[in-house]
Amino acid sequence: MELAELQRAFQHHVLHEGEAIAAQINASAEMPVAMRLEVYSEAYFARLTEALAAGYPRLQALIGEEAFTHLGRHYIQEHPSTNFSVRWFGDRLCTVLRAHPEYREQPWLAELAQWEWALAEAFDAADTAPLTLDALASVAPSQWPSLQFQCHPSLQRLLLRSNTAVLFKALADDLAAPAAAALENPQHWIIWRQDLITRYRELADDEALALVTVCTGGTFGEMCEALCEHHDPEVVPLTAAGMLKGWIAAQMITASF
Amino acid sequence: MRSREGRGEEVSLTGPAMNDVRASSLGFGLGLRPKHYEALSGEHLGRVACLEVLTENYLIPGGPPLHHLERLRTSYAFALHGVSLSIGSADPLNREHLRQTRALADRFEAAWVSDHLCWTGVDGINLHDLMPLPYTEEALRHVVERVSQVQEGLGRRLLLENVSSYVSYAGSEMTEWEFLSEIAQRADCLLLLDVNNIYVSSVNHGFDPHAYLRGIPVERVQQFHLAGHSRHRSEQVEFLIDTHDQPVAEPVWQLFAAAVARFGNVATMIERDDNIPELPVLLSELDRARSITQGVAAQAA
Repeated sequence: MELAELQRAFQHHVLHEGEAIAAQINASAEMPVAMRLEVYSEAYFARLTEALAAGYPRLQALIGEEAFTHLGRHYIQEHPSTNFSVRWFGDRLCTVLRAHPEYREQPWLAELAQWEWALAEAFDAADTAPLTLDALASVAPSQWPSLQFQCHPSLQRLLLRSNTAVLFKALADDLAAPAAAALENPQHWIIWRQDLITRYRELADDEALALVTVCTGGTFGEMCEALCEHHDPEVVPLTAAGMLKGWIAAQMITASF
Repeated sequence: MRSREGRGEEVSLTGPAMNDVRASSLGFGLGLRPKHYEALSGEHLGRVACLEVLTENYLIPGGPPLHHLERLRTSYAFALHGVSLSIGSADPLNREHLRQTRALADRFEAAWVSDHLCWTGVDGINLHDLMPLPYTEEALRHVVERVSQVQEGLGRRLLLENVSSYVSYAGSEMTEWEFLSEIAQRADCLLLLDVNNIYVSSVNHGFDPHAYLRGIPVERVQQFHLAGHSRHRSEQVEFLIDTHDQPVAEPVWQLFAAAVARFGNVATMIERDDNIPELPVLLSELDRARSITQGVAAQAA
């Protein structure tokens, strides 16, 4: 058997219990071929389930080890890793939970997965230097309306329709999780890294709108216009400046001026 | 390529042969694990000469892991150790993986870069396991050709490590040690001998681990690995699995002494991937490796 064919047959065994490889393996009196091959297939599912659990520890805690292993097996079979690093193996778990009939009736599961994935993304995002107050102070007031900013690469925005944030906090503190429930009004949350610490907080509707404006290429002027939906135009400049100052202090944004 | 001076303790055993292309020994070290970041830069600063950095864990955009490496590099020499090169795969080499590995090695001035003599998947899939190769002339040529490409891409010699295996192929045409030696010589690369893996495979396949050691050319061995394994019993069968979750086993220490006697003062690192103890436990295992090496040197003198 040629090398490529042999590798395909072995991989087929690991992924789908294919039998073609067995004829290529030496048997021994002590250890039959099936047992030898099983070492690889069992280790495969165990290792990737462990990798998923490492990325989604709170989801595992919420649904329990057995249900998580069941979910993991489905995920591993449907979405084998194609990345050189196992770090990105779980990237589609949220999508799977949203679509799969077994899980989509519990939308907080997909949201919790989204939350944990966002934590991982924030954790090892690029170390781009955040904007500082000093840099902002060097800008002439006349230029402010046309100023543009970018989200720090670590900043993740989430819109939650369930009490996922409360669930996460309880699970992270090893407390009994409260009952999962839909929210009356969706919540805006952000997850980002300040210095080397991953943080999260809720945003009020006005701040969420302002942040999405600047993070999608809008100017400070456009951010002020957007805030007029929520505030008296007279107080908007001050409100906007206050928000910007808060984002800078929390290292949430960058700029190239 | 003898450009970098090892920072570790030197135990003189044998002088370099004329055809010796190895870098200076880095001495005794540990596989770097996040659990030990603080202890290595605080309480136990400088207790080891070098750290082995798991390549793929640091092929990330930024954040704390790379920050810890920046901190630790001021006190320790680094060797990079990868798991996804997939040198034996029928798939094309992953150029992006190679590019990022080189960038990491350059950034942290790694003394060398190693990965495993195995394949990790085919048709674009990564099984994240070290799958064994058949020991055939076809596989040999395939690997040798790819090692040349990798060494060119990395701008340095590659170290290939022997893996533990649980199957052997009916189509194999030579022993594992003949295969490994041929690759090292034809591809002009170096070897990372995992003493535990030799022992595990010798039990699982019933070969003599000392014959393995005798079959490997001395001037190609740049590094040793030591690790623990697990013993599995099922019906009447007993076999070993390379779990890296136990202390180094007694027979592996004995084989290590034989390896030191043959290969000399080679950089030695202990790997623990699971059930990771506090740093002092690993430091005392490393002390044992050091004293075995010194004992062999004293006998040779």
